[in-house]
Amino acid sequence: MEKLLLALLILVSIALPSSSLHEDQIGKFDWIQRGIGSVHLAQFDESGSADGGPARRLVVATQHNVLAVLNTKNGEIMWRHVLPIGATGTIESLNVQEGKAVIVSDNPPLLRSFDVLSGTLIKEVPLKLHYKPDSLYGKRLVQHDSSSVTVAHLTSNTAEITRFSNLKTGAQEWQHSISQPWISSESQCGLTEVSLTCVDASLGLVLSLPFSRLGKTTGKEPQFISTSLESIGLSVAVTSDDDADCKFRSIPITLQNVHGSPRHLLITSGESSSVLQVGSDGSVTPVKEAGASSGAVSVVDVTQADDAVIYRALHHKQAIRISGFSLALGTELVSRSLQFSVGAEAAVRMLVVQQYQRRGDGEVAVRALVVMHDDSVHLVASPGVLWLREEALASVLAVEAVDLPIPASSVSMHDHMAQRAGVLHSLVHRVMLQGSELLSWLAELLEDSLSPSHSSPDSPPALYRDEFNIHKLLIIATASGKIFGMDNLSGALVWSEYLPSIQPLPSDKLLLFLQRSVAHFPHPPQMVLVAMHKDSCRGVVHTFNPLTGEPTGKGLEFLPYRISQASMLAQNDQQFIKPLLVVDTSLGVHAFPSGTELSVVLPHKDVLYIATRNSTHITGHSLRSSTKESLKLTPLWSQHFPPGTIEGVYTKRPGDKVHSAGRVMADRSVLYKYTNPNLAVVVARGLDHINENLLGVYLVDLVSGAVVDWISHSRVSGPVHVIHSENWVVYTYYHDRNRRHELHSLELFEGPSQANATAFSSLAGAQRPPLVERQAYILPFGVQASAHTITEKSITTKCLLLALDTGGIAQVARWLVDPRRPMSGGGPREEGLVQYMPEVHLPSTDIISYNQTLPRVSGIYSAPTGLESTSIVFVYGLDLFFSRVFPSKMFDMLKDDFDYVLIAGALLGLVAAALITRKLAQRKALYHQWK
Amino acid sequence: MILKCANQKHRNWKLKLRSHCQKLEHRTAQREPAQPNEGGVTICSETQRSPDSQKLVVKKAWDLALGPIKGVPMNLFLLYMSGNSISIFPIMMVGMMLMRPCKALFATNATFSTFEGTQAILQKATYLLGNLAQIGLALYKCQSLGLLPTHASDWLAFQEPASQVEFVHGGFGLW
Repeated sequence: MEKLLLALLILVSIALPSSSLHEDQIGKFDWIQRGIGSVHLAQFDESGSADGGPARRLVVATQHNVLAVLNTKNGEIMWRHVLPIGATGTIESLNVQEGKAVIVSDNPPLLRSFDVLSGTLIKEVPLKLHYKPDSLYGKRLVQHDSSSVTVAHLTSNTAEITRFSNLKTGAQEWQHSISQPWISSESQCGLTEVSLTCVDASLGLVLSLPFSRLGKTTGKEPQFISTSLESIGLSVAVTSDDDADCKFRSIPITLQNVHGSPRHLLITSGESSSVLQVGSDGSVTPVKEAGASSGAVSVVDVTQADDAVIYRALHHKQAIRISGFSLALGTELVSRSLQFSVGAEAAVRMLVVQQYQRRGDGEVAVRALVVMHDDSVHLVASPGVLWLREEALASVLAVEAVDLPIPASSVSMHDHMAQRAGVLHSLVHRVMLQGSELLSWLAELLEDSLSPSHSSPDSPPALYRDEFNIHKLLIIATASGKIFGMDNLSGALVWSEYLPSIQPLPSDKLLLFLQRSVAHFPHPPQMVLVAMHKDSCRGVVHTFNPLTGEPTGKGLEFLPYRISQASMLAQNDQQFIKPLLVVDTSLGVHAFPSGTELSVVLPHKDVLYIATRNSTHITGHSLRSSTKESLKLTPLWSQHFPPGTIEGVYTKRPGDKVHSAGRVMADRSVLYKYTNPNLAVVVARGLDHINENLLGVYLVDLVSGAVVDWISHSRVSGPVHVIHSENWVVYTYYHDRNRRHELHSLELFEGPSQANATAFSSLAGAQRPPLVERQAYILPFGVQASAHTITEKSITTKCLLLALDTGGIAQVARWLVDPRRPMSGGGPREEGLVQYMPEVHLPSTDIISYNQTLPRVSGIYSAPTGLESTSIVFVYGLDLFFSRVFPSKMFDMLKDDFDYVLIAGALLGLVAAALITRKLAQRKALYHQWK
Repeated sequence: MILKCANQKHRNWKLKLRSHCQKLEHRTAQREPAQPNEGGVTICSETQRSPDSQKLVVKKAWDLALGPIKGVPMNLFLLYMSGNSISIFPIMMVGMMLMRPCKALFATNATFSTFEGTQAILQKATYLLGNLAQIGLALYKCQSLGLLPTHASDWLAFQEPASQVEFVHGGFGLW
C-alpha cells in the first residue's frame, strides 16, 4: 500500500512541473529553421520539368552529410536525409538522372539511390573493394555517372583505382594499384571519366593517367602523361613558409572537378584559373576562353546539350556576373549571361547551371545555383536572385543575446535618472518625465490615427525592447566567418557581415564577448569577436556594434601574434567597456581596447589559467607582477590531471547568480552551499592499465590550483557533457560496461555553518573541504548537447536542457536528478525531494521541441529575460530552434489563455449589482419611513 | 444587566440602593469594558466604605489579578488538544491567545483604576505576570507550530550573496 502511495506521489510530482504545450500554441513562442549545411554537390533534377522547362527540384549534398531536395521556386526543403557524421555518411559523389538521385559514400563504399520526388531509398549496393579503405588515412576521389563508378584512394606513394561498371551488383570491372613517388594523401587530383589527373606544384607538372592505358588486366606499370604548367599558362604562386605549422595553410595550386562535365577539370593557382579538357588519351589541354579571367575567378559549369558552354562566375565586390562561353563558336554568349548582386563581398565557391528552353519563345534560358564562400546559396535567373538560403547558420560556433535599446523617448528619462539627486527631486523628475512620455505617446497615437500610411508594411520594424525584455537580438558567429544579427522572436536576420579573412581558432571556436551593453546610453553597445586569420593563423579581433553589425573603434584588427587565450574582465573601465585580455602563445598579455587603463585590471587579484590542448596539465598565472605600464604573467601553479588528455574545462558562466545561500533541511537547519566562483570542472580521459576507458572528473579551484574533489569512472566513454552552475555539477557520459547513458549529479555544500558569509576567497586560510553529495542516474537517451536555463535573479529553479539524440530538446527539472534524493523512505524529508529512483523518467510534455526533431545539435544557448519566470532558449546545430521556457511555470505572469473578458465582466457585474441594490435599498428604506 | 449588589444579608439595602447602583453602573460602563467576573459589585461597594466591603473589594481585586494565571491550565489543555498541525483552528486559537493578554496588558491601569488599596501594586504585578504567562504560552505554541523565525533557515532569504575576492579568467587553450 505504501509503495502504491509512493508511486502515486511520484507520478503526481512528475506530472506537476511540466508545462506542456497545447496544440494551438505551436509556433506561438517558438520557431524552427531547417538547414542543410554548406553545399558541395548539387544538380538540377530535370526529369520533373515538362518539355525541357526549368527544373522544379534541385538535389544538393552538403559537407554536413545531408542529402536534400530543394524546391527551385522558393528554396524550401522538400525532403532531406541526415546521414551519419564521419566517413560513413560523407557523400562523395552525386548523380541525378531519371528522377533518381544516386550518391556514393565511402567507407564502407556504398552506392545509394533515392527517389527525388519522395525521398525514399530505392536501392543500396555495396561496392566491393579488395582492400579496406582507411578513413583516417588517404584521400578519396569518386566519379560516377549512370553506368559506372570510379573510386580512387590516394595514400603516400600509392593510388588505388577501382572501376565498377555493374551498378546492380556492385561488382568491379577492374582495379589498379599505382605506385608513384609524388603521390600523397595531400595530392591535388581529380577523377574524370577517362583519367586520373593530378597536379604537383613542386614538379610543376600536370600528370594524367588515362584509363584506356590501364586495360582490362593488370600488367606492366602504367605511365602518367605529364604536361608542364607553363604550357597551360599557369605559374605556381610562391608562398612564404614562415607559418609552416599553420595547418590551414592555403594550397598553392588546386585541381577540382567541374559540375556538369565528366571531362573537364578546373585548375586554380592563386588568382588565376583555367579549365582543362582531358582527352581520352590522357592529353590535357586548356580551354581558351574569350574573357579569360584574371582577378576574382570562381567556378565553371559545362553543359553539353547542343554544344559545350562554359559558365564562369566573376565577382567584383558585391556584383556577380555569370557569363557563358561557347566552345564550338569560341565566343561569349551574351544572351546567356546573368548579373546580380549579393549582400556580402564573398567569392563564388560553386556554380551549377541549367539551360532550358523558355516556354514562350523557345529561346535558351539559363538558371544558376551559386554557392558563395560564406555558404549562402542563391538561385539566380535572368530577373535576378530568385531565393537565397543562409547555410552558414548550419555551422554556428558562438551565440550571444543582446538586449535591445529602449525607445528614444524614454532614453532621456533613464539618462537623467543616472544622476544622483534627493528623493523628492527625483520623484518630481520622474513624475514630470512620465508625464512628458504620456504626452508624446498620445501625440504619436494621434499622428498614427491621422496618417495611417505613416508606417509602411515593408519597412522593417524598429528594434526596441519590449515590456518584459523578451525581444532580443541574437548575435551569431558562424564557421564560415559570417556574423549575423537575428531577431529572436521571428528568426529573421536583421544584419549580416561577412569577414572573408577570418576562420575559427584551431580549437574550432570563435569567441564573442559583449564588452558594453546597451545600458550605457549614449555610448553604443560594443561586441568583440576573436578569431584567426585565414592565411597566417595569427589572431584577429573584430569590434562591432551588435545592433547594426557596423564596425566600431578599430573594427577588424589583425594581431601580430597567435592567440592562446582570450577572456573578458568582469570590471568596466571609465567608458563602461569591459576590457578583453588576450594572451598570445608566448604568454604575453594584451588588453583590448589597447588604451585601457590598467588600473581596471590591477587592483583585483586576477588569475589567468590556461589548459593546453592535448596535454595533462593546467597552468595558472597571476597578473600580480604587472606594472601600470605593461601586463605580465607569472606562473602560479601547475596541476596534473591523470589519466590522459584533458578534454574540457568547464567553469561557471561569468556572473552566475546564486539566489539562496543555503538549502533548508527537514529540521529547519541550513546546509550552506559551497559557491566558489572560481571552481571549474576538469574532465580528463584516458586508459587504465588494462586498456579500459577511464574518465577523471576533477573539481578544481582555479585561483589556488587545489583539487577540491575528484571522481574516477572506469569503463566510461564520452561524449561527456557537463553543466556547471551555482553549487552543482551535472554530467552525462556513456557507460561501456552497462551499455547505457548515465547522468552523474554532484552538489557541494560548505556545511551547517559558513566560514565567511560576506565574501568568498579561495585563498582564505585553512579551508574545510566542502561536502560533496553525489548520485548517478540512468538516462534512457543519449545527449547531444546540454545547458541550463538562466533567469534574471536565479530565483526560479534551474532546469537542465538536454538535446537528446532522438532529436528532442528536453527540459529536465533539477530535483529529478538531485543528489540528495533519499535512498529509503521514512524519516523527515527535505522539501521537494522524492525517493531515489535510478531511472530518469521524462514525460513527453517536458520535450520543449514537442514533435520537432532536431538532428545534430551542437549547442544550446540560454539567456534571461526581464521576467523572472522566463528564460529564452536557442538551440543551434544543423537546424535552429528558439523557444521560451518557464522552469517554475509562469508564476509572475497571467497565462495567455487567461479569460480577461470573464473576469472583467464579473467585476463590472458585481459593481453594477452593488450600485443597483444600494439604490433599491434606499428606496425601500424611504418607503418604510413614510409608512 | 441586573445588578446584584453586596451579599444575601443586605437584601433590603440592596433594593434601596438599586437605583443609585444602576446609575453608577451606567456611568462607569462607558469608562471600562464590562468584565464577566466583576459585574457591578465593585461599583456599588465603592459607595460602601465599611471594613467588610473593603475586604470584599480586595478579594475581588485579587480575583481579577489572579484571573489570567488561573486561565493558564485551561489554555494548556486547549493547546494540547489542538495539536501541532498548521490549520485554521490552532492558528485562530494562537492568535486569540496572543491578542487577548496583550490587550489586557495595555488596559491594566484602566482595569485596576477602580481599586484603590495598598495591594494595588502587587495585584497589578500578579495580573501582569499572569498575562505574560499567557503570552508565553501562546509563544510556546507558536514555537511548537514552527511559526517563530528562530532558525537560521528563516533568515536565509535575507542573506546577501558573498562577494568575490579573486577573479579567474582563461580557459581551454585556443591554440
